[in-house]
Amino acid sequence: MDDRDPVLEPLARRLRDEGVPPERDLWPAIDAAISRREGLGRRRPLRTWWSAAAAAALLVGLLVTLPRPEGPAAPEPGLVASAARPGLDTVDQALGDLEAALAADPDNLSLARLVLMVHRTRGALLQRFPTHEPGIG
Amino acid sequence: MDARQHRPADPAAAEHAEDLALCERAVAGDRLAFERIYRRHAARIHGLALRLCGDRGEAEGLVQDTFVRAWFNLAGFQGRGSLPGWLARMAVNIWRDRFRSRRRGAQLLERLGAEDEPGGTTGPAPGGVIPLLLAVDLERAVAQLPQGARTVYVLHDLEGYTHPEIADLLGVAVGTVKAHLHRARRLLRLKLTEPRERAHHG
Repeated sequence: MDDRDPVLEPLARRLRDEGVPPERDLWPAIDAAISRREGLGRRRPLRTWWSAAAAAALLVGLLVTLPRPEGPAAPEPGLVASAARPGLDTVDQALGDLEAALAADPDNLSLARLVLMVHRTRGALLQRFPTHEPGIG
Repeated sequence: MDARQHRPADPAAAEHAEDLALCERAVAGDRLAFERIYRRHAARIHGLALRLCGDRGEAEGLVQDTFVRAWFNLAGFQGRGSLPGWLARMAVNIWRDRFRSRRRGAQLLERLGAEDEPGGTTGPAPGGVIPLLLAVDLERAVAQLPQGARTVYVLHDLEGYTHPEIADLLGVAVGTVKAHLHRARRLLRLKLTEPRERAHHG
């Protein structure tokens, strides 16, 4: 099977090579994020771990306690979403820190399991309250 | 990853050699060298992110996360293949993780498969060469594709992923990937030729 479109391919190659410059300079944010994560990794590894574990526990608590956003007696989905939003923000932050720690220590199985657990729990929460996550594309 | 072993014989080789040299410095902790890497390849990764996400804010977030992750994993880049290719794979992997974590992949593509096609045109697009088109025309046309078709087209035709790799990434059947790719190309040809035909007949 021909895997390339002979008509579109020349344009596609140029598109891929030329790229699209970001409208704003993203480097300062990248630089700051690297510094922050490096600082966390060096100085406060335990705190990072514990914050992630606490975030995961918070998520589990939210899953158990928050009502489903559908059904006749359920509160407005927006109310449920706003109640859970701070928890998600905390988890997202901790998840970023955890992933950075895992990148620095990829053989750490405990850390890998913790990342997986937080990902799964976050996914379950998002599935239950889909209004939290912006649409893909 | 020894840049001294690479003697540039052409512009591409020179680019690669410079990337390797910058990588060596960045791995050693030189943040300025890594900034140079960012400046050299931000457009490539941002273009990919924009096409995958379809949203400027999300795309910028993906670019940031890609370069942050790259900093911590740069030692893993062994110089096999190109640095922008390595960064692009990383961006796709991050995008895929988010895609999966939302657990919408299969449902999304299934839903998108039922989308109406613009203009209701079902016949084949005109073949042959599309003259005098710029890459920006294709960029615009890609952005207008339905999401499933766009995703598969970007991954396959722009990033070089195979059908099975894309199927694995998105959690769909290979046949679905092929169908989306076929549809994407057909729609792109239509979009790229439409204005000219209108101009001829209008």
